[in-house]
Amino acid sequence: MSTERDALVLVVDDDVNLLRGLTRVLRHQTFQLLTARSGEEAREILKRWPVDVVICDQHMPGTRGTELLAWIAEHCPRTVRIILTGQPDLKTAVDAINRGQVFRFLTKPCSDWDLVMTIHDALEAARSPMNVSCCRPDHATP
Amino acid sequence: MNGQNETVKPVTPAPPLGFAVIEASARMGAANKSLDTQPCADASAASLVETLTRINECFLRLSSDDVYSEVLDEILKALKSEYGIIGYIDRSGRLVCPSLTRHVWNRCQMADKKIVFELDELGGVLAQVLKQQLTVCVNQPVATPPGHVPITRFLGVPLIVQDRLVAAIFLANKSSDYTQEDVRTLEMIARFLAPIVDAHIREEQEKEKRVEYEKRLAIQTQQLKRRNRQLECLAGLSDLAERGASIEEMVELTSYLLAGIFQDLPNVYSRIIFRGQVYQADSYEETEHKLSAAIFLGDDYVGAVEICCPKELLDDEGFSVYRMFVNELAERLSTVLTRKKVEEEIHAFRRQTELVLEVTRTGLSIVDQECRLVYVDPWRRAVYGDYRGKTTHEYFCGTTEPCWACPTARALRTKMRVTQERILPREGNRPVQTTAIPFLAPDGKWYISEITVDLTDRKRWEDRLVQAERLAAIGHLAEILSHEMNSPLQYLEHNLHFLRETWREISQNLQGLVLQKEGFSTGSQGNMLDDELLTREFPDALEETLTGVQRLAKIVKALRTFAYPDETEKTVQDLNAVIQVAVDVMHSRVSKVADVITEFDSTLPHVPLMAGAFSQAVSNLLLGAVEAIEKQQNSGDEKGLIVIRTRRLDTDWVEIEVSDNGVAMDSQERKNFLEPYFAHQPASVTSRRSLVHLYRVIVEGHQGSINVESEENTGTRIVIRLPTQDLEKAKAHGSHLTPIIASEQAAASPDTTTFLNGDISRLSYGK
Repeated sequence: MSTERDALVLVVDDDVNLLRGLTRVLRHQTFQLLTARSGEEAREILKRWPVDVVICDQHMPGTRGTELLAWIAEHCPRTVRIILTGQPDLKTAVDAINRGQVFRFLTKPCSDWDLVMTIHDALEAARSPMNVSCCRPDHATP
Repeated sequence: MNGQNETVKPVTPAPPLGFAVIEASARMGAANKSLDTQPCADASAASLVETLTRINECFLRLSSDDVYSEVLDEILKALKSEYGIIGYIDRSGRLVCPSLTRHVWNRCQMADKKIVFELDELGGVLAQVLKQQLTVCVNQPVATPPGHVPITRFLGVPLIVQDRLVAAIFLANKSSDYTQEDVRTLEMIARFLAPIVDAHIREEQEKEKRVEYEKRLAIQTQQLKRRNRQLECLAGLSDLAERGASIEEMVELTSYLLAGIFQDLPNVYSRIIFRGQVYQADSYEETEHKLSAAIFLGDDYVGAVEICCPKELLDDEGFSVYRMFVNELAERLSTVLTRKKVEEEIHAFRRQTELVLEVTRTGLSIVDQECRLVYVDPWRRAVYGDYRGKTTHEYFCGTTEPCWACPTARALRTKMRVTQERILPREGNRPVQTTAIPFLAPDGKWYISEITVDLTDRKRWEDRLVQAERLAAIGHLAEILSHEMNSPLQYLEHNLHFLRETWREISQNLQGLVLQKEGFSTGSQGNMLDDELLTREFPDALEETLTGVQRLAKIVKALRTFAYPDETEKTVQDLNAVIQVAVDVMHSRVSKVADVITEFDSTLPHVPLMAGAFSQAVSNLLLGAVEAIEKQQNSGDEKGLIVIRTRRLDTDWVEIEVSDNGVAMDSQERKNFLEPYFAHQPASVTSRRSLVHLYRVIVEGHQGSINVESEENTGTRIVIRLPTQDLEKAKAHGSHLTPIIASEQAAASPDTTTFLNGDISRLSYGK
């Protein structure tokens, strides 16, 4: 069981500006923030680090967020998955839930506060002994 | 009559006697003097002259056969005979005896009493007189047929003119014997009478002939009159047809005409039965005997002309002319009615056709080889007036020469179908499509049938479709833009939060510094401002925020160009810049799938453009390319490639090329792509959908052309050509019939395989 200090949160987005903005906002949080600019980078990090929570954009060059999340669900089932998309559509939502088994579905723009709260909820879920099935009713979106 | 003849004396032909009594009597006198030596000669000569004078008077006074009995009476008196006969030979050589001594007739007991005898049936003394032409004198009873009055004495002389027997006089039963004197007297009388009787007979015969001729003439006249009336009836029928009477009226009037024909024939009734309806006079009576002739309408039996008449009339030869007439009338009636029916059908068909033309607002005109109008539909006749003798350009355009766009002139020249869309100013500026179709008529001449189809509804429908597509495009755009704008918004918010917090920390640190200075150090490391934060993160955040705001501003600006709603006029624009707007707007959608390479020709002249519509068209092409790439791309594949190139072709044309390496279009897709009004796009075809839009923008809006080349493994290449001048404006000056599509420039630009007035069949694809 890791302490919060050791918690690892990975943000995947092809927009560097967005990654840097997020890093700035989350710099005081108790978890460590990792960033990846593509699906490939994310996979590399996930193979190397025990990431607790992944926040992933849907539209990225080369790969889709839901595809990455599906890969994570398969290979790192303990990692809690969150999607953050600027172009929400039904197909993305369905794929995210069915294939990526996401914990939360966030849309851009998302306020800092919501984001932080969601990450903490996700870390809570990751720490829970039953975190394999993440979508528990008590973690319903506020 | 074989009795012995006492005196048979041949009579030499008498010298011709004059008709005039005086002359005759004068000669008689001379003859008597020379012949007669008896003392009573003068007295008897005087009585002979008297007798002859009276006979002559008879002929002058009386005509016909009555004269003979008078003459006979005179002769009987002169020769004191009881019985007498004057008979003449008629044309057929028979002996006609109009005068017998009257009381003989009553006494005669013969079985076949008659006054006309064949010469052969006469025998005895009569035969001697008639056949041997001798004077016969018998002073003893002669044999007679049974029942004949007894003859005791007989004297007969033939009347001879130029050796021809014309008549004979027979006398009988003188109380005393006939003397030489009597014979001479009778011969004298005969000689006198012969030419008169001959003349009389001839006259009578002439008279008879004349009467016969007159009778025949009268019959012929009547027949001619009837025939004339019949012909008048037939002519009247044709006249009726020309006067535009209906079929039923014609039948009814014909029945009146028919009744007129038979009005002078009693007990003859006529009627016409037509389609079960009977046309007859009130006095019509049905009889057993009928003449009937069938009436046909085309090949259908529809009725009959019927004549009812007594049987004897039917058998009469003179009636056969009516028999002929009835057949003639029925035939003529059939012809006239059939023609009328065909005319009515043609008329009805024409009316119907013209109604259809009018309802569908379709114009039809037919033009001959010299561009002269042969037919114009009624609706446009009402607009443009009388077309006869005018040429199509005079009539519709008011010009003396056909204009450059004139489809009729072009069709005549090329003998090919020409289609053109144009606006008709005199018909409320309605948009039409005119198709000129040349055809070779049976008379060996070329004609052009020009069909003008109203496009108002289609244009409206297209407008709606374009509007719908535009809305869909805007929806699509909103989707893309939401992502495009949401990312900057996301990090703008993050950065602003960061800046606020950092500022708070800075300000706290400033306070801390102040407090430290004053000896109240907090010593908290977390609140310590490190160098990196101050020297890098803070300015970077500011810079990135600015970038984000600029990006948002750019998107908003592009959106304005892109979705400019009221763009109707072309303005001269930098084509490259307009294309760049489209690329910018589509950036986020495209960049994830494909790299976009733009190769802009920097020497490209500015061209007249409707920038919004055009950039939309380009973005549609980009979207199409993206979808084509997505179709064949698997996850993790390399990005596709979209190349946008512009170049200057010549002074008049510029070219924009959009190519991708996605899935090639199949032939149907290609066809649909260029089909300007392809209405039934499957719902899945999303981006290639804006075809109407593309067609309208490029071909209709800019008088440009579109060419598609699509090959498997290579992808799709779409080439758009635009004129550097506003062709629409330039051409509009030439003619008030503004062509919506100018097709000539397609021929002007080299090597193009493109739209010619939407004629898909002439497109070729790069193969």
